[in-house]
Order: sequence, then C-alpha cells, then structure tokens
Amino acid sequence: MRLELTRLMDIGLERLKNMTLDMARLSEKTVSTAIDAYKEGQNVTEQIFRWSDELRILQDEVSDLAIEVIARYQPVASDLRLIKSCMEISYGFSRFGRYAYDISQVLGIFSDISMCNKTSIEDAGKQVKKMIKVSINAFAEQNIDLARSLSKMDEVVDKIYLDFVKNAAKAPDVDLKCALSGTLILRYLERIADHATYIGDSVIYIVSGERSSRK
Amino acid sequence: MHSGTAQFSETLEKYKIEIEHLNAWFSEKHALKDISMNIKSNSVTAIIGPSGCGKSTLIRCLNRMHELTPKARVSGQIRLDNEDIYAGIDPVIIRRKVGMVFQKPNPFPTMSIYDNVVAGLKLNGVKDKKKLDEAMRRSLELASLWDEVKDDLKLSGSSLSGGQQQRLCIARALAVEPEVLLMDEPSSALDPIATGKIEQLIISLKEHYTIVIVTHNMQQAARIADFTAFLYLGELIEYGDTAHLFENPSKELTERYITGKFG
Repeated sequence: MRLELTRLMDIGLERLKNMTLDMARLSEKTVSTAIDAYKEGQNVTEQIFRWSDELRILQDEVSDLAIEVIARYQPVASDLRLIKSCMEISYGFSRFGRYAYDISQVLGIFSDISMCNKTSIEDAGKQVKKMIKVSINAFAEQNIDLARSLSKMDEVVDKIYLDFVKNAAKAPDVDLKCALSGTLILRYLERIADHATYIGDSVIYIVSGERSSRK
Repeated sequence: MHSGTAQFSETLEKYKIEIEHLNAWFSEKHALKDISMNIKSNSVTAIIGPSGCGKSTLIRCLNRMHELTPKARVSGQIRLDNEDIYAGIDPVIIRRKVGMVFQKPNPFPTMSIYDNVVAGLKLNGVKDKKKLDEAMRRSLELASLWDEVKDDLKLSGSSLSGGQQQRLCIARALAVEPEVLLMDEPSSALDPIATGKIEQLIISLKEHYTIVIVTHNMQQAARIADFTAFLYLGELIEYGDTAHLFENPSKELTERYITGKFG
C-alpha cells in the first residue's frame, strides 16, 4: 500500500498558483479597461499605468516566490514545470498590462480619433478579451484543450492586424492619423494575443511536458 | 527510450554492461523482476527507488556479490563487454573488473593508509615495491586524496575523517584497476562538504570508469548521473536520460516518487 504524503512544498506551490491567478484577474481588467476606453474615447492612462505597475510588482513577487520554492524544496517533474511556467505566465500577464498601457497612450498621442473606423479594433479587441479569458481558464483548470485552442484564436487577431496594415498601405486617400493609431493599437492587441498563446503553451508544458517551438 | 526495458536510441553506443531479463531472489522473496537495461561506458548511472525496491540487489548482481548471501539466486543474463558474467567465469575475476564502494567507509582498521590502498594488489600477488608504490600514488591521486595524505601514509586509515575514509575506500577499489565502479550510497554517511567532494570525484572518474551508483538522494542523482533508473518493488519502472527523467518522467509512478508524493 502506498503512503500518501502531504508535502511542505505544496503550500508554496499553492501560493504561487494563487498569486499568478491574482495577476490573471488584474491583467484581464487592465486590458478590458484599455480596450473599452478606446471605444468610448476616454482617457484612462493614469489608471492603466497604476495597474500595469502593480502587475510588474506582482511579477517580481511571483519570481521571488518561485526562486524560494526551488531553493527550499528542489522541485522536480510536474512541480518544476509548474514553477517554471508560473514565472513565464506571470511575465505574460505583466506584458498584458504593459500593452494595455501602450493602447491607452495612443489616445494621448493622437488626441481625438473618434472619426476613425473602429471596426477592426473592436473585432480584434473582442477576440483578445476572449483569448485572455481562455488563457486564464486554461491555467486555472490546467486544461490542455483550452490551451491548445488559443493558437487558432491567435490566427484571427493576426489576420485582422495584417489586413488593416495592408489596406492602410494601399488605400489612396488614407487618413494618416487613423492609419497610424489603428496600426499601433492593433499591433499591441496582436502582441497580447501572442502572449495569451504563450500562456497556453506553458499550460501544455505543465500538464504534458511538451515544449512549444513558438516564440 | 524512457520505458521499463530501456534501450537507448543510439544503437551505435557502446554498452559496458547489458542486463537481460534479470531476476534475483532471496530465498522465496523475488527481489528483482525481469530487469533489462543497458549501461553505457564511461557514464554515471544512478539507481533510485524507495527502501527495499532492489537497488542494492541490482548492483550486487553486477559483480556477483548477490550470490554470497545464503539462499540467494539469480536468473537472466548480465554481459560485461559482451561476456556473460554468470557463464563459468571465476567471480573473483568479475569482482576485480567490477569494484565496489559501500555506504559506510570501511577501511581496514589495523592497516596504514598505504596498506589499505594496496591490499587488493597484494592479495592478487603483487609484491614489487615499485609497482605497489606507483599504484598507491595513482589510486590516491585518482581518488583526490593524495595531496591530503601524502605525508601521512603510515598513519592508520581509521585516523582519517569520514569523507577521507570514503575516498580511501575508492582509492582501494581503484588500485586493482577495475573497469566498472559500483557505489552503494557512497555519501549517505557523510556531511555536505565531504559529499560534494565525492560527487566531484565521481564525475571526474567517469573519464576512466563506468560508474553505477545507488542513491537515496534524488538531488544527488540529478546532479551527477547521466542516466537514471527508477526501481519500485523489484521492477524497473523507468530508465533514461537524467535531465528528462527529472523534468518530465514518462511514468506516473516515477512522477509520484520523485515529487515525494509517496514514500
């Protein structure tokens, strides 16, 4: 009969997961606020900056705890993969915050862009919000199917971004302000989608040990 | 590759030891069950697993020490350089080729450091003082002990620290010029500094020898072994590249053992 053991390391691993999930929730709120503010023409740069900074600090805390757990318990196998992935995933969430801040800054750079067609950004924004939710759920539930679905979702955002850039480049009477601001915001959304996909890769690595060739 | 019957993918690799369908018993107790694995030349192979899983029995089969236990028996095949070690060869010759170091340092207490090192050679009939001197120095150098004891060779082996005594035992095993070195938890009785020295020594020795080490310390296996085998209840559960086994074991049982989820 096998003896089941409660491990001291589990307390640290649980804290690590919870801290990463706290980051997940804050990063989701940060990106959603930035996208919604763009649609409504609101200036939320200061608020987004504070949240983004909070995410950066939380990422440092996740890294510190990860190092502490490694130093104290010498984790291996799925424990080690979880710790490595929490460090990578927390970096992903902090990047969400940073790109949300970049999005909010676009309004400041170009002031009024209410006359621009927002369809592409709204579509990409909707998809990115969905991807963030999926990446968080994939991590929370260690769900490999949800994690794998992110790659396909990412292709949608890539296409919206590339179509927008191509159209802007060949349109004869392009509004430079709209083209530039749109390109920048879509680029940031496209990067957020990439990071959501990397989070999916990390979940796959935690569960199966399978490494992604992406990045 | 990372399965119970381990066969590494590099078919051209040279194996020092090939184990096929090895079974071992202590009277009625079936201690090793159908073990098949190949051990690569000039590598460190670690055997891990909970107490009583058959780790020590496995390495004791590799130099025919298992059969010294009353009512012990073995079936299957173990080939050393392609030669079946159980097929009519004098076990003394096998034990000369396959040396062993034990958990507790066991220098001969009444002998000097010098005599401890050359004891095996003298037993084999070497009397030439020059040859003994050369072998003694070479063995102590290989065991990283020469600089510490070169001026005290007449002192008793027991006068050394635990870590030095263990390195003396390694020197003694090396003096008879074995090809394989078996180590049964060689540092479990030592402090971390002495353990570190033994680990460095093991790494340096693999240039000349094939080393198989039994260890309870999984971090030790992770630090020094090229390949690791996990045994459980006498069965080889998983065997493969150490980095892979500790990062992404193929078997659920290995995962549960190395992460400390059962003991």
